[in-house]
Amino acid sequence: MIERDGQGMGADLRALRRSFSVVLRVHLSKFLLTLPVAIGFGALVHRELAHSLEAERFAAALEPALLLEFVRRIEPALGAGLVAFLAAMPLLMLALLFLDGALLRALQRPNSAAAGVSVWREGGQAMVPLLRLWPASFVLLVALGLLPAYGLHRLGRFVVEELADERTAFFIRLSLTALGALFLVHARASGDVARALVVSGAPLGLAVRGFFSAFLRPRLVLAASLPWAIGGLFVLVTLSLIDVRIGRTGTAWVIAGFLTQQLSGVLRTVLGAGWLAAASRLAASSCRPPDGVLPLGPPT
Amino acid sequence: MPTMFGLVPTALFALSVSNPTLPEPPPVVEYELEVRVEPDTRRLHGSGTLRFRNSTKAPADRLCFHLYLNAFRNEASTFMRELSVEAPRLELDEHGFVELLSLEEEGAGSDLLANARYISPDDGRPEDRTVLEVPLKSPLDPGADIELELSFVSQLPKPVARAGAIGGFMMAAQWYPKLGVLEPAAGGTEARWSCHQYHAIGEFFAPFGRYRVTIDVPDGHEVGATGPRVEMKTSSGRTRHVHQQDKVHDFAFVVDPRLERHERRFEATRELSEARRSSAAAHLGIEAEVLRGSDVKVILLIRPERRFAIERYFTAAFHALRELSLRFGPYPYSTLTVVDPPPGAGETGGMEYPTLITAGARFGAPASMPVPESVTIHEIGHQFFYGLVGTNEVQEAWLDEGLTSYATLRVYEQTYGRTLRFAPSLFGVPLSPWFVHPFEFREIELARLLSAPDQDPTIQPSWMFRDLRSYRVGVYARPVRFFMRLEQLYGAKTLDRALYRYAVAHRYGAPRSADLLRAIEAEAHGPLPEWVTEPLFRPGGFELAVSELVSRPVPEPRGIAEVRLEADRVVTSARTSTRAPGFFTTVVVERRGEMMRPAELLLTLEDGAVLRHKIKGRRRWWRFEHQGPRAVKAELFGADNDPLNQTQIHRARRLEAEHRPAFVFAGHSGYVVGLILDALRFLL
Ligand SMILES: [Zn+2]
Repeated sequence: MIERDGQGMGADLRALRRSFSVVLRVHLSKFLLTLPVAIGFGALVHRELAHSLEAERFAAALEPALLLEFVRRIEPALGAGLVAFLAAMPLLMLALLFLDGALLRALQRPNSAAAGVSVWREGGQAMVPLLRLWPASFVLLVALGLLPAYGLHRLGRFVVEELADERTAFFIRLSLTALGALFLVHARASGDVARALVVSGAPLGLAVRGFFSAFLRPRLVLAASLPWAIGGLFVLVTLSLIDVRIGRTGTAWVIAGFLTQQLSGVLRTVLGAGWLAAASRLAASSCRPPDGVLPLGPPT
Repeated sequence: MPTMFGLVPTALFALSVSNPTLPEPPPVVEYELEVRVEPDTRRLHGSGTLRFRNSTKAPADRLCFHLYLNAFRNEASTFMRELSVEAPRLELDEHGFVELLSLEEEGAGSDLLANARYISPDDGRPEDRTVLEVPLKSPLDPGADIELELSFVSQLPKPVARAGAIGGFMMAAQWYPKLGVLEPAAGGTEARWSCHQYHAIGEFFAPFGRYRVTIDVPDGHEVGATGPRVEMKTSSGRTRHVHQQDKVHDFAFVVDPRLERHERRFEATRELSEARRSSAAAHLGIEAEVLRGSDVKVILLIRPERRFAIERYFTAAFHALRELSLRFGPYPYSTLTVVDPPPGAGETGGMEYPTLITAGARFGAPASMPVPESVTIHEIGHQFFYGLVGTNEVQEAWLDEGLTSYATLRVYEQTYGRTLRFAPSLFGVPLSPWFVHPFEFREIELARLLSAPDQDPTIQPSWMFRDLRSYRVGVYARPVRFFMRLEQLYGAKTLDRALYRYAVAHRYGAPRSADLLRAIEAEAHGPLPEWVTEPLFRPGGFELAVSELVSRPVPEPRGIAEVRLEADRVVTSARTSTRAPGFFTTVVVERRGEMMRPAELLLTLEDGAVLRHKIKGRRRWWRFEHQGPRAVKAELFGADNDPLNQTQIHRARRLEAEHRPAFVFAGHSGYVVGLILDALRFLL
């Protein structure tokens, strides 16, 4: 079906390349969002450990007793920090929605219009439709993604309860959990199709219909979205594993560790943008409701 | 708190240790029971005789029984109340109980149950039915016997803790009316029952005796039990397994249609070889001959799905039997049964009973994880401290859990090394330096010590601990670090000799904490200083920290030098002396916990000189000042590496700041927040 549209994943990659500067700016914004926590936590480590003879040992490996003592010492600050983080959650969610909007708008632009896109302007323009869509898309995500995923997870536990063979039990639970994850990914991808529609100017009702239109085409949607999700998971796992920040305390290793982490962040943002490009393509073609009269193309 | 236990002359002590030629007194209890097992209803129908001998010097006018399965009778029991939030809700048909149906004095024909009543000596809770007091028709004189005929019915609960039945698997522990311990009281002129209610934590204390139990099960059921099987008869669809064991203080068994039986012989001559025995004996200062043990049949009961763990079990069990025998005297029984509870019965795992333990393998546990090895070694350790040295777990749990944990640690280190390595690898290539952090087993005990507020003394009844976390700290972790402190102060050899002598002197006995401390004093050739044993008696922890180290150039002594009166005017002159060279250094040491141990502050200066100050007394803080070269670092010699010191971060301080850890962790926390943002975005 995708091929019939003459697009496919190549189109997503082209859209991604066109909007690369926007993607980078989105990553930078996310990096800025993480800074308060990073600085706060670094300050706590500094307060407790800068003058301790155990500083290097602390940074070199996770030793249970040392880590536990540290957590006990920073407990009050940690509690306050957590409260602040939770309090800032609505703002963070708005910021994330804003950045998504900017990405979607940039990705939907044709070749010629890609240069000189402003994250602020695009994000601002996408914000109102995205916020209007949000209640409906969140309910749909919970009902068709999170609940089935949780249900399948519980079902796994229930099915294997009386099962003596742990190997079989393990694989049954693994498969059911994987199936649940698939539901979640599919519901999320269908939600992003609706977002792509609403950002490009579709009315709310049409966007919601777009959601169902996408949700009823799991093969199409998953074929377009899963590669990006799997890529993101792969980046997450491999870069976490080869992350060198702990284990070496020399300055060069500290920098190498930091760069690894940043690389992981950039790649995840790029893959996330790829996912949105796929959603936009689906919105523009296969998953648009049949009576959708919207001239999907460059937003006006 | 006084901790002088009197110094027993070593020679006298040694005399009391090795006296195997004394005629042995008859056992205090002899149980001869027959139990018909009904897997469908999870019920046990029991009957038989119990002979009890009053081994005190005072008459006894009553008997006291543990009826511990009544803990699972309903939610009002002390046990279920203490479990509180952790307690799983049991459906009506999942509860358990033990009901004594009849109790008669042999020959007298009188029913003793008529005047029996449930008592709650620990918490006074009237609903609890785990202790039954039975008045006797006439007092039982010192040295006299009484023979009782009894019948009872028990029902095993769904496994909540320790005992239970699920999916055909039945773990019968505390399944029969079990006599408490009659102890001398009031200077020996009275006798008193030590018979505690069943609590959520701490359970064992019973007299040593002889058990002969016939377990009658439907055909096709495997049975594992305390002691060797001495008889087996099959008739009309049922099989009767007769197990018998002397010199034990409890009897437990397991029944299951799907357990497989694997047996291996622990050959004493090979496992406790000449070479091993002589080196261990030299270490302990005894004759090598004393360590010559006898063969043990090790029986592993495990379901076919868990066959992958068979080798791991046997290897760990053999290691434990060998090393513990060489440390605390040979394991004296002819069997050791290791049970792997099947899936769903995990709550019955990790338990010790005489000559029978339950452990627990885990599917998918990598070879580097000590599962089921550590629990197997720990429970076999209990065969010595609980089984052979039958201390009161309800009153002084550290004597079994603390000693066993320390013994486990030593055996584990000896056989598997000091560190636990959990290193994931792909085709043999270690994946990340991040995960490759060898955990020292000793450090894990320190982490456990730090895992809960230090609010309970080690020596106190188990039900008085604030919660299970505090119990784990007070009874497991703190004693392990306490023994490490002794190891550090007196040397491993002295401690090992003391523990050996304690274990051998009190084999088949019920020593108290003072007996253990006395054994250590005897080997240490002197009383243990108060600060050494303080953590056993008092909560509050020990933490001696360098909380401040400042070294600044000596300030210019500006200000007023002279004040004069000149024509009614006050005239001052400024100080003109030049600045003294060098630095002004201040160090503050804080005692943050309740405990104290003498230490020495070592202040290292830039020119390499080291200044020493004594830290003693029970102040909360000490300040030291020094003028001269700039300071480099301040350390607390003695306290810094004390195993009970609850700070590593602040046990020493340096003047120069090291910034890299802050950068490392700032980067890492930013990375983690980035992941959280991505996850949020996905779920938004
Ligand atoms: Zn234990």
